[in-house]
This record gives sequence, structure tokens and C-alpha cells, in this order.
Amino acid sequence: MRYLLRRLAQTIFVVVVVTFLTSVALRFIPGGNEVIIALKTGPGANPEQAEAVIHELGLDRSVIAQYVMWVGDFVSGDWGQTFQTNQSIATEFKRALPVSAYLMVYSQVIALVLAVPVALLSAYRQNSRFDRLASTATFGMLSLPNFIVAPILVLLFSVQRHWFPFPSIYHGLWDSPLDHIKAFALPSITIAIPLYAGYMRVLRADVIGTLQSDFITTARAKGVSTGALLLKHALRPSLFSLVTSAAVQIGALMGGVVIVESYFSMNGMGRVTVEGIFKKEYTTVQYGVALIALVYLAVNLLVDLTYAWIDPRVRRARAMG
Amino acid sequence: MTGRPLLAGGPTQAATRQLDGGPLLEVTDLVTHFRTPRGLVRSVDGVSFTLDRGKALGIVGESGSGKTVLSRSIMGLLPKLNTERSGSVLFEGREIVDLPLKERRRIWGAEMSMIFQDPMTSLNPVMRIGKQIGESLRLHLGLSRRAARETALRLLQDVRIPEPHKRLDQYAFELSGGMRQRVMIALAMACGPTLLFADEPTTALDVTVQAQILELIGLQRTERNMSVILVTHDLGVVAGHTDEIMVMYAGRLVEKAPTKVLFANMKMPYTEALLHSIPKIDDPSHTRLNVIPGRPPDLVNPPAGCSFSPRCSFAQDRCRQEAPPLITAEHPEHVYACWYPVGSPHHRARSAELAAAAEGLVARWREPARPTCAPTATRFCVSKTW
Repeated sequence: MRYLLRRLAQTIFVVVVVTFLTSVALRFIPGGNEVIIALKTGPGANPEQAEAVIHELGLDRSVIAQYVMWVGDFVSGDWGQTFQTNQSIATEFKRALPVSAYLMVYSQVIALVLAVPVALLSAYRQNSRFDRLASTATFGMLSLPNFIVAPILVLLFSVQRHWFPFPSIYHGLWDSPLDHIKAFALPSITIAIPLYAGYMRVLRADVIGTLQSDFITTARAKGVSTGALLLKHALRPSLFSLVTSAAVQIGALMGGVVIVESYFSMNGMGRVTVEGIFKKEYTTVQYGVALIALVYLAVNLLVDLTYAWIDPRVRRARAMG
Repeated sequence: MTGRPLLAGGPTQAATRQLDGGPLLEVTDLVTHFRTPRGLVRSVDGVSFTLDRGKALGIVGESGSGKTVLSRSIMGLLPKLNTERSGSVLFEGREIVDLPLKERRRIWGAEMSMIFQDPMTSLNPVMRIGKQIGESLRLHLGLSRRAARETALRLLQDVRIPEPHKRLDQYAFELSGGMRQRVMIALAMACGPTLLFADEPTTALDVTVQAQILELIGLQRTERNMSVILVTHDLGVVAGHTDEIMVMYAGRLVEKAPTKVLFANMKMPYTEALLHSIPKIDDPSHTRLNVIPGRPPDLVNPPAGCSFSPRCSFAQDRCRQEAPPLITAEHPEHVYACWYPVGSPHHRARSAELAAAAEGLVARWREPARPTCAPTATRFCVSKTW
């Protein structure tokens, strides 16, 4: 419990630092306030207009006051409009967030569902034909970049066989489940392939280590079947590295799959944020960065709690500390 | 003290145990070799013996003598890959050497089970104790979750763990070494096996706990009419807890006798050396430990003749050329493999020679009085329980 509180305090501290830096970043834009005013109002703004822009962004207040105002806006969802197209930033992210979340969840699920059994079997039959085949294939997948995989998948399954639409059009899961699945299938698989490869290698190595343990021999001497041996005895103690790398990936996937999002014309967090950078939509970038950071931190907090589930020794050590 | 035989097979199994007259275990010419890049490692090289129901057999030898491999090979626990195994193991009259894995699993944990050397690492670190014990109960006896838990509790009581209720939901790391080994014993006993392998069950424990664990194994053996194979490097451990002792060297049986007979009349210089390497409680402190010089032989290229000859103080040319067969001693159940056994004229003459030489050494040694241990010698067993 004390550990949980400490961990929570740490997370909050990081959240404050990150949001503070993003909110204050507006003051360090090359060209300064003039650029922002010019972006917002077009060239030749009159002084009143300029002052209104500056006031709206809190640039006329102290750093702390600006930060407080920014946090207030962020929490209340009053994120303002884009500079140039005058669209609601909040609406844009409201659309982008589920796209990214679905992509992240689907690709993680695909990668993990494949990686766990393949890794277990590969480790159990180390150096068998299956293991060598799986390891080689995995290594190949690891070295395939997204922008190669995506066109191949599209060519095979959208162009030659019209199984999936291209480009992907977003459908809500509950609005039309089939279209939703179809839209997300190819991008999710594209992302999942290198993910799977990484997970499979990490887990295989750990399971091989675990299988050498004495307690595995104990379990074998009990007459436990191979399946139970792997799933009930070998898997859990081997999960540490997998959970760690999966957690890092969650953060990366929330904002870091710009190439895939762009290729399939999906407006996820990554794409919206990166386009914001190109178009000098500074406030959009601010909220994008803050959102991605929040998701990342929340996930990492969750993962830390997972460690305690995996290994009771961690639980005990934390309860004491 | 709970005198009831717990789950030990129930009435039917107990009845068949008494009806069936044959030995429980009959091992004939068991060979276990491992293919390695260095060559074939002859870990077990033609071992034969029988074990009766309810009896305890001690298998004694140094590290690398093949005793652990032998016990695992009998059970069939070794991985198939790169292992060559031949010979015959009759368990309750049934050949089990070439049994498919599925059949072997039905025996493991149910009819044969094993306790391992290191209780620190032999229990699953992330599974509660109760569940670990219950697992084989559910697997072999088809008990429900609740019944398995209740039985696990009774087993924990049987192995005399304090506060057994509490232990069910604890993890291995929350228990002491002795308690963990008790848990291992409970786990091994769970389904009432007829044969228990205890592979160095006390090596990792401290001396006072060692005695308790051995006593517990002995008690469970008589309560459940179970046979025990006690694998150890410590003659002291087997002395009080076995009916029969088998000494192994370089993958072979070199001497075997009922425990009392062996201690009264050991024939192999190796057995004698093993015994002498145990420090005696009435020795003055800082007495130099007796060690067997040299190392156990390389099992890829075993020496010609008697495999102990390179380290044997009594070896003659014949020993280095011709491997001695197993010879029956005065006692019909006592066999040994040695050309010049303890008590033979040659052995006696050589002993006298060695004693005289030692006398001289000691005299020279007393002067500077520097009683340290020889650092390079392969030290043997250091148990103080003897």
C-alpha cells in the first residue's frame, strides 16, 4: 500500500513536470508571440486582435499563472481551436484517441496471442525443427520495417483479394463491428508483426532459463503434463521481461506509429500530433504530447502493479518497504 | 503424531502391497550415457540391484559418481535428447524403461516420487504451497479443489510443519529451508507413492535440521510401508537410516551390503576412504580432514582396469589393467569389486606401510604446528552428524 502511494506520488510528479514543460513551451517558439499571432489571425493583425490572442493563450501572465490556466483548460476539455482552420482541437483528439487505442490494443493482442504459445513451444523444444523455423521467421519479421509490411499486406489482401478496404475508414466498434474489424485488421497486423517478433524472442529466452530451474524438475516429477508444465509453472516466472517490453510498447504505440497511421489514412494520435508540428499548430502539439505522456505514465503505473501479481516476492518486498 | 496411513493408497493398494511377493524394484544392467561434444559420458555404466518393499537403500558416492543420474534414470526423468539408456527397470514387476512419456507421468508423483537437494529452488516461487501440494492430488487422484486443499493440510500436519493452516497460502520464500524441505516431502508423499527417491535431501540444510528431515523420511517410510532410495555423498547420513548401502564410483556399483554388514566389514578401499573422510566428533579441533586424493575420473575416458585405481593407495598393476568383477563376500548379500579388498594380506601389509609413513609425517608436521587444510585436495564429505 505504501509502495502504491509512493508510486502514485512519483507519477503525479512526472505528470506535473511534463505538462508544465509543454504548457510553457509556447514561450520558446522560434519567432515568439508574433508568429503565433500571425498564425492565428493571418498577416496584418490589429493590436486588439493580437492582444486577444496573447491573452487567450495566457502569454501575458506569469509562467505559473499560464500553467494553471492551461491545466484548467486541459482538464475541462476547453482546448480551443486550431490556428489556421479554426477547428475544435478537442474534437480532433476525441476522434484520434480511440483510433490509436484500438490500434494499440489490437496489435498488442495479436502480438501477444501469437508470441506466448510460439515462445513456450520454442523454448520447450529448444533447437528442434519447430524452434529453428520459428526463430528464423521471427528474426525475419523483426527486420521488416512497417513501410514494407504495410504495402505488401495491402497488395495481397486489399488489391488482389478485396478482403479489407484500403485506405481504412474508421468505424466505431459498436456502430458496425464488421467494418470496424475490417478497417483495423491490416494496420493492426502491420504493427503486430515486429511486436510479435520482439515478444517472442524475449519470452523464449526467459522460458528457456526458467525451464532449467529445479522447480520445473519438481513439477515434472509430479507427473504434470507438458501443457500444464509450461502454462502453470514456467510461464509466470518468465513474464518479467515480456511485461516490461509490452509496457514500453504501449506508450510507443500511442504516439509512435505515424507511418502506419499515415499509410492507412487513419487519424491517430501520432498522425494528428505530427501534422500539428508540420503545420505549426502549436496548441495541438501541446495537447497531443500531454495526452500521450499521460497514457504512457498510467500504463507504466499499471505495469508496476503487474510485477507484484507475477511475483509474490515483489509484493512482500514492497509491503515491507 | 498421526498414525493413520493418510492417503497411502487406501485399503486396496495396501492389500496388493502385502500380497505381491516380488521385489518392488529390480534394476538390471542399467546404462545411462550422455552424448556430449566431448564424447560419450558414461554416467551410469551397468548397474544392477533389487529393492524390497518398505526397505531403504542408500546410494553413496562422490559428486560425479553417477548416483543422481542413476536415480533419475530409474525414474525415467532424464530428457531423451542426447541420452542413451539401456537395461531393465522392473517396478512392481512392470518394465518401465521404454514406457512412453504419458505412461511414465502416470507413475511420477503417484507411485514414485522424488525429493531434491535444494529446497530453496525446488519449489515453485510463484505458486502457493497448498496449490503445489494439491496439484498432484488433483492430477493423480482426481480430487476436487477443496478436497485437495484439505488433504494438503493433513500432509503438512504429517510432516510436522508448525501452523500448517497458515502455510497453505504462503509462498516458498516465506518458509525456512527446513520447512521447505518438509513441504517437498509432503509434496512427494501426497499420492502415497511406493517408492521415494531422496536425492541429497539434507545437503543444503544445516546440521540440526538434517537430522530432523532424515528422521521424518524414516518415519513416513514405516508409516506408509514405502521404499526409500536415499542418495547422498555422506556415509554418515545413510548409516542410521538405511537397510542397505550401495557405493558407487564412476558410474558403477563398487560395493553393496546390508548397512550393518558394510560398516562392520567394508571391503572396498574406496568405501573405507569415504568413511575416513568424515571428521570424528572426538577428534581434537583443527585435525586435518582426511581426503581422498585426486578427483573422480573423467567419465568420457575412464581409466583402464579398476576406475578407482589411480586414487587408490592400495592399487597394484593388476588393478590398473583388469577391472575387478563384483565378488560376493562372506555375507551372501555383500558384494564388492576389488582385487585387494580391506583385510586381504596385501591390503594389510600396505596399510602398515602407510601408517608408518604417516607417523613420520605427523612427527615432522607437529614442529611448526600449522594445522590448515590442504587447499588443492578434493575435499570429500564434511558432515558432523556422524
